[in-house]
Amino acid sequence: MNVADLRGVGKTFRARRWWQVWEMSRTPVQALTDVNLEIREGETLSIIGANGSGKTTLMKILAGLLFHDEGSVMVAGHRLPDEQQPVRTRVHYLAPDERSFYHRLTVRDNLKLFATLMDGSLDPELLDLLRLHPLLNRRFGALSSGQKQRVALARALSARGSLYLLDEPTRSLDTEGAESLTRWLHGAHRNHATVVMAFPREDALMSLSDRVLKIEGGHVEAL
Amino acid sequence: MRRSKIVALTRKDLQVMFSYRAEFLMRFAGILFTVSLWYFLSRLLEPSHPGYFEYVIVGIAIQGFLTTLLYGTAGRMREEQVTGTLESVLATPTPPSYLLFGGTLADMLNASINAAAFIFLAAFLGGFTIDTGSWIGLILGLLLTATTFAALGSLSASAVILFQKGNPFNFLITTMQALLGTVFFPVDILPPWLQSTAEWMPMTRALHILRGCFLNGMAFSEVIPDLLYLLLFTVVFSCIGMALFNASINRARREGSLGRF
Repeated sequence: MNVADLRGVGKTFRARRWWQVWEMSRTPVQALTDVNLEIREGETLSIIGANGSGKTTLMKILAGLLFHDEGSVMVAGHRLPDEQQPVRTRVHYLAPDERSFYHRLTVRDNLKLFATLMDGSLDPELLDLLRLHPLLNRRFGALSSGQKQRVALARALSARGSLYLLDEPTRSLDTEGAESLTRWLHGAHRNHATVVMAFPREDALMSLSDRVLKIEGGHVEAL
Repeated sequence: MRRSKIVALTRKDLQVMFSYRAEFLMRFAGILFTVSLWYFLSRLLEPSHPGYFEYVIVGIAIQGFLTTLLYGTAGRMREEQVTGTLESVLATPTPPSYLLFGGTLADMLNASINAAAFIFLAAFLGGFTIDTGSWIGLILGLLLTATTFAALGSLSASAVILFQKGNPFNFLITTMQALLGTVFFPVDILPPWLQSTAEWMPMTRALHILRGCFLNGMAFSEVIPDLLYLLLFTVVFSCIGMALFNASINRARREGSLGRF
């Protein structure tokens, strides 16, 4: 059974016309072209591609954060973008940057807030695994990049879901952080969770994948 | 579940707001200077215009309410865009409207603290003669004033999502309400053609209720038409604001501009 099914998916970021003050780009950018992809339940899939190849666009479309222009997208049995809310209860997305937390709040307050918004709760085992207990009472803004990435992983992995989308999950992580993520992936595999990871270059975690795909110029192909 | 999410978002906004302690304290200093300024100006005017100090302080306090709800909502949306939290909140199964509700509740509390500070400092500095009429009228008036301005805040938030930087809507609304909304002077000193426009301003209606029930001993029956006007304004503009906000979020999802600034 497929957790996600993409057929002929295309995405173009349009160019600004003179009256559209809200548009950014002066030239259109074709981010994805005719993407056909089936993500099977319980599999771990890695996608590798250079900067600007379309990885994050693809991940955001799967997370319902970005609407596609062409083709069809089914995630967890729901058609996007028409059925966004049920998809968000099943899909959890790790953003590829650290700009997604409230810097003035503590790590604990951030994680509690997002756990409530994700209809879940703080998972003490995950906090242990990611060595976050000593950081819980510190302001998020005062953490190092690697620590912020561990908090971001805790948020993305704490909710029970059917599809985890991890965009550059090892970014800024130290060796111990990467090992923690490896242990979580082994557990996810045992629990038949579906995991999609995107990497800008070869990464040790890719060896745990069932399949590796390459994305280049918005085209996805098997490696 | 719905309530716990809105409460969590309100708590988050209050935590962020109170984490800037220096800003919070400076704001009270600003209110003190504003009240002092109007106290001395009123002393100049009061021989010919008795009760002007009370009149203008209530006007400014409620104008502050509007400003907080308009700029607070828009400013928060902008901050959520810049810090990337807008995208991360909307990646969860949380309807966009909850983000707006949660922030609006925090702003209402913030605006109420400001308005109360204006009245207390004015009473402390210059004496403040009140003649309370209907308490129900006053409480309903305050509630409907808050919801009316919150409805305008949702329009402002939509503009921020759509245009990212710069929100001409806020400047237009606040200056128009200040000019025509009887904040600083009564409607009868305006030219006749502007007087009829001023009557339709929500600020004019809100201040008629609040000054009437707080300063002029008005009965409930005397403010019913204004309360009904604010209720209608709230319902109509909340629906328009929600629809626009959801549409602007969906547009941002199509364009990929949720986290863009």
